[in-house]
Amino acid sequence: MRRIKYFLTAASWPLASFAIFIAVWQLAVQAFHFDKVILPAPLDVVIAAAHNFRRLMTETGITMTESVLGFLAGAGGAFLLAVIFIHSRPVQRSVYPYAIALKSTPLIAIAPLLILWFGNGMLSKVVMSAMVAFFPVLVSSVAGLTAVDEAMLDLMNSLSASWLQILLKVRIPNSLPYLFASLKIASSMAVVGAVIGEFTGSTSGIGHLLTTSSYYLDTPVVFAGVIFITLAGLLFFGLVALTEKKVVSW
Amino acid sequence: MPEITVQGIGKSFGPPGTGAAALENVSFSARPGEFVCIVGPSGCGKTTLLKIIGDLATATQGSVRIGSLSPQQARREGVFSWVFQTPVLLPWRDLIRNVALPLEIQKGRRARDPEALLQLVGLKGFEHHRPAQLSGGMQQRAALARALTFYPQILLMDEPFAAVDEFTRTALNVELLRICREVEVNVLFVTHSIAEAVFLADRIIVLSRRPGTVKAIVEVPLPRPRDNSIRASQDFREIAQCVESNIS
Repeated sequence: MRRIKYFLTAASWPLASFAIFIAVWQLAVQAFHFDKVILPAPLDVVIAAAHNFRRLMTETGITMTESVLGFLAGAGGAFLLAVIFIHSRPVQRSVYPYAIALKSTPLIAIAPLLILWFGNGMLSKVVMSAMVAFFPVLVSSVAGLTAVDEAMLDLMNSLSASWLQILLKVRIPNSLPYLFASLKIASSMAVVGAVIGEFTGSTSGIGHLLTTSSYYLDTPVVFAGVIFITLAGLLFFGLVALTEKKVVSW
Repeated sequence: MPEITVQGIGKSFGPPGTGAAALENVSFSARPGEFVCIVGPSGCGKTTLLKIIGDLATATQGSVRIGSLSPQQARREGVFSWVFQTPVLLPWRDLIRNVALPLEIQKGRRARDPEALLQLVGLKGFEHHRPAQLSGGMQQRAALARALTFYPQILLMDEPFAAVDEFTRTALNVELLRICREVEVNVLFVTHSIAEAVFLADRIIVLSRRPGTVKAIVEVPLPRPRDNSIRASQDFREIAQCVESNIS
């Protein structure tokens, strides 16, 4: 009960500022007669969203599916590679520079190539999502798996623990706070990766909806699309943050 | 209980001949049933010496025997266990699961019950507390409980109470002696506190400044069981002075 009350108090300020912002926007558009193509009023956006609700939901769903799959593949792959890195210096030394190079390559520059390779369906977007989610998770996983108290390793060694026992009982739990910090970043990045992929070449998804709607100068739908994918991205981020709270409880 | 024999131990860091020696020709023995303290100024290599005995570091010279075993064999057989400077408890586990950690590493060995161990060290009722919820002294008690899991014959303790305040330390000293009586274990105890060493030990190995060598071996013939009143006695002060004169 107290928590609900606290939440309401905390939420009331941003909600109030949001309401004022929307009201000013609506009044400004009506007062200065802005062209709907340049700046639609909030009400136009709401009407467009209601008209196209089903399509917006479907396209958002497609983009989020790509994002979540890419996130899981990218983060999972990165964590696995981090585990290999910390057990093998030679692998780390020979692969890490390329991981950094990949990170420095603008995704948008190689997007057309990825469309050529993986087609303009969902797979190419999943790949792009995975690529952007990969690097932050790799860096923080390596840090978390390595940042183990030296004395803890002494204790495990004195118990004649195997490397696998040290990994499972000490290193992986120890890495979780680091891991989740990067997962929160990666969850937002994954959505960006998927939308960029859809911009480059696609037949569905919110990126496809945005490009086609702007061709037809249907700006209210563009606005609605941006709002839908933003809310979905926030929900995704929230789920990751919630999982963090459940998992990292110490 | 095995005898620990340390013979001509030397340890130098870096390539040979560059002279970064931490220990030089350290020899002593700890007889079965004895409580032996190693004291010396900071940086004299006492922790390194203990790590060599406990197979967490290797000597560049000399040899260590634990009974008839090498440190490595003794570690594999579980002859000794460690209590470190810090409690090294896993912060995501509650106390009972921290104490049970050794059971997960080596399954099927004769072991004490974690709950009984927590009771032994006076932590009954704190089984489901996380380490962060407890004081430093209580955390170190839990570390001691964990160390007793596999009926070790020797406890290697590396300045275990260095991080707690003076009052907690003296209380833990009394507790440690009580626990050692109950479980019958040899102790090798590193400390830089002379008072702590005199209170606990049967014998004190005094190490010199770097590179550490054995400067003196001081017998502590104070009667047991000991309690805090002994700290005020004339004998206690004389032994402490004897140790101190050997360090400076």
